[in-house]
Amino acid sequence: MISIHSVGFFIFTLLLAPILPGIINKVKAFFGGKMGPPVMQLYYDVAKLMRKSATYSQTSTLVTRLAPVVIFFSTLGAALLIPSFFREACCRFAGDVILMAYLFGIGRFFMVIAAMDRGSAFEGMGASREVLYSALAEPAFFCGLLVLINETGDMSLSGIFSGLSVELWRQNPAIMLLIAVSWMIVLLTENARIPVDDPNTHLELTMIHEVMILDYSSKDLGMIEYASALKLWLFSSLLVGLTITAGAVPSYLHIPVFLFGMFMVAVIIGCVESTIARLRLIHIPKFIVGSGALAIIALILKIAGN
Amino acid sequence: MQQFLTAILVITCGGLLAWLTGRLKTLSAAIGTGSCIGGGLLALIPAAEILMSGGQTPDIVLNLPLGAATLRLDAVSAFFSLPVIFLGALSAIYAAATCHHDKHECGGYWFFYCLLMASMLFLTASANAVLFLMAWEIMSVAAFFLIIHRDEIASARNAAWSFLVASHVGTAGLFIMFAVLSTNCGSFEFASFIRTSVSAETASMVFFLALFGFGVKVGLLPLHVWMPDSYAFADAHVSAVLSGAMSKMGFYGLVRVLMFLPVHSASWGWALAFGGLLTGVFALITALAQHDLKKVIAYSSMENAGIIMMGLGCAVLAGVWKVPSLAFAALAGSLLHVLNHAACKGLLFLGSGAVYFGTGTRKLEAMGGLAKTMPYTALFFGIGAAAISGLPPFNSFISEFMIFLAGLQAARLGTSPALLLAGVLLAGLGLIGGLAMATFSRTFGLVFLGASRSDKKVEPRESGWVARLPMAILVLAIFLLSLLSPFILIPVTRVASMIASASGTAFTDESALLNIQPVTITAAVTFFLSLFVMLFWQIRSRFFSNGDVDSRCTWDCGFAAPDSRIQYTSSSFSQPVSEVFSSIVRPYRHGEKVAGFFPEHASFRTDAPDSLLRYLYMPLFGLIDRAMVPLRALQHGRLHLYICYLAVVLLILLIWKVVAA
Repeated sequence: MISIHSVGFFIFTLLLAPILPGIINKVKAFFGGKMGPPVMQLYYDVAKLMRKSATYSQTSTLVTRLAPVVIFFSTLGAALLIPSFFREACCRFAGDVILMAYLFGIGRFFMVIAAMDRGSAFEGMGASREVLYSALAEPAFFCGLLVLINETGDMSLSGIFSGLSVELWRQNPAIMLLIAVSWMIVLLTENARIPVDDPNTHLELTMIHEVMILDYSSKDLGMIEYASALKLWLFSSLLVGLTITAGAVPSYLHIPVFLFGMFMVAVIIGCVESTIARLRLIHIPKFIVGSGALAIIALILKIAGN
Repeated sequence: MQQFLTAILVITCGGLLAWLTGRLKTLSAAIGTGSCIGGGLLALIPAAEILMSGGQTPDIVLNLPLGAATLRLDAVSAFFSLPVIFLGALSAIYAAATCHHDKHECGGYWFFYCLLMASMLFLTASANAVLFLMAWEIMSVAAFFLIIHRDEIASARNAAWSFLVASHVGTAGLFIMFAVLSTNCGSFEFASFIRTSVSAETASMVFFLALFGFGVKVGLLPLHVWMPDSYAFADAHVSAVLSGAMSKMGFYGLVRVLMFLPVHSASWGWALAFGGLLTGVFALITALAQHDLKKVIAYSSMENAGIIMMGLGCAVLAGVWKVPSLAFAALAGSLLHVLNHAACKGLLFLGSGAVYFGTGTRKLEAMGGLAKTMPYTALFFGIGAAAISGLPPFNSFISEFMIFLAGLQAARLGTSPALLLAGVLLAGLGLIGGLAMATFSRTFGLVFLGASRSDKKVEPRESGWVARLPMAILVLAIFLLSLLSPFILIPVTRVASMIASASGTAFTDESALLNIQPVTITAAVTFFLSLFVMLFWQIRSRFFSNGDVDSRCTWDCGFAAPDSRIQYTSSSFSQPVSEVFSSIVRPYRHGEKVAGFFPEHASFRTDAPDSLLRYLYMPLFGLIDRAMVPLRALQHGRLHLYICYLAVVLLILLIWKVVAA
């Protein structure tokens, strides 16, 4: 149900979310031997975008104008459901994880139809890839989730993540590791990171996420950029909750340990992005299906272990 | 019950009158529509009463030559008559609004339309195998005549024939099934089927025969091949009824048969769950490669049948495992999905009809940008597309949520088979949901958004308000079904507990509450989020739009003269998906290669006929055809020899009889 004292953490999440891309970029700059943009860059970008006025394509319809709002609020809605700082989420109930996945789904639906709204050559490309990759990532996420539900015996995200402990990792190291790796791949896929998508590529032909928002400007772009950062934060917090586990941390250390975990996720993403190149487009589905296969192996291990 | 029968009579007589007045198109349409709406309202009252109170009407016993036959309306039949009543009446309004475009004679068309609706209502009310099969047969034949309406088109004729063959093959299975049941208990009455116990082997045989027979109607994986073509070549309102109501009769039959058999076997549940999963995934990856608007929607019917089947399978397994709360979530979810799918699919098919009237084509490659010329249709179709992809805050999300919830509960159970079931439900529904989103964002985007791909100079026109009215009502139904879902679940619970109690699973209040509470919270959360979206959007576009410019051309890497030809087409959008699933879809590729430094001509087109049709049925029927060639010698057209055949057969029968005696 609704937990009021988590609202503070929710607001904290909303405030901190744009910092993750900053950390990733710093790590990448370090690998490249550069200074890189400041960690707070996304805050400045969003603040600047909010002051600008928008330009729309003459081909576009209301869909283009409505989509950023839907994307923004659906991500915000998902943030209400996802536990962070090893505490309960603002809203918990049996099956909230389904609502979370489908809130991301409606955001993606609008992103895709908005991309097709402008009738551009490139945005359709991004849309067509996005829908396929996200559909393939879905089974991996759910397979991992159902093993966790089985382990913890709870059907809400908050319940699952508060039920995780070091003991669980010690008993089934293989299963937990497989889920963590498969969720890491899901995170990279859903948030358009290397090796699935390169946020910094300079060629529209090869983009996925960035190409779909080519035509957005000003407040709309600001909302989308912010929502993407928040989505990255949310997926990372799932990963942190899975790997560090709430049971392992004494409650007075919740906030620093969680923030350290998030920092580490950003560093890992930055290292991945600095050390490996983007996959060729025809190999990406294999990579994502591979994450599903890992999750299914975890499920099979669990079934066999019973 | 009398009232329900009166409704059926009103619809049938209205159909007959419409046929007789076929010359006067307006009058005939008025009579046809009037009787469908009037009959629908008449039938709705007893159905709603039963759903609200949970009782059943007193039986009416007909004295047929074959013996007494009972007509009865209970909660299950009342529930399954709802899509028939609503879609029948709404599609009739649509048909009336569009029939003046039709060059054909409309009288017979109206007659078969009314007959289809009446036979489906009669089907739900018959509690006797003979009546059931009669209604089933009338339904199939009426549907055949509706599909073959445009019989000057060869493809429409082929589609109708394949429908007729497929549905009769299915009916043959049903004949055997009912014969087995009735020899077992010596009566054709449903009530006696329930009373008599059957051995486990017979029960399994009955179930799999039913799965085959009803599977043809719902579009279970290898039996679906008639579906895409028939839905594509029938008129929009007919496809809406066929997909939203007629295919649901298959589920009605399946549920009835499950109620006849008190002891279920786990193998049935697995067959339903895996069958549903394969059906759903196959349907969507084929749908993504289609270029005919109505075929895409037809394949999506198959996908939703798969989802409902997965829910039913889970309910059967939960019944076997004796876990009432799991059975409740799965059964209530799939029943709710029957209603939700009927509303969405009706809306999408009527929308596709409006698009066809506006543009004169069903080809996705020739559409685009219709949102500007057909704003209402675009809005309705967009809502339908988001709803059928199972996205919140729309109705299909609620029912899929319940089936997901069943998967989560199965995961919590912890036994190995339960984990496997959870894997099928969660990962399967996740993949299906993602692919459905891909299918319908593609369809909506290609048809309504971007720039027009058509080379015709004619401006597409919006359909009139009468044709838009049923679509608007269906949109309203979609919102009500999602917003009021906790209340709609009360009668659905009643139906579900009736189905489950037949096999000895009793729902407690606790098991219902465990599932209804999350649905309530979900409905509330999504409602408030969509309220926020609307509010914020209005604020953004009213108060924070100073200096916004909306007259620039689309950014295309500096190319300043983008036109419609640079857009992604339906082939290009589905190319990555077809590539990944190329072992299943196998599209044909047509077109000229790009050659030379300044190529003048280049084209590319894909075409993806149903793989099962191509690789299973075509070779199979070809083989049968060749094997039957020698038999043609017997069919030579000489009448006296035909009479000789008769005499020989009679003689053989006579000898057999004498010897046997």
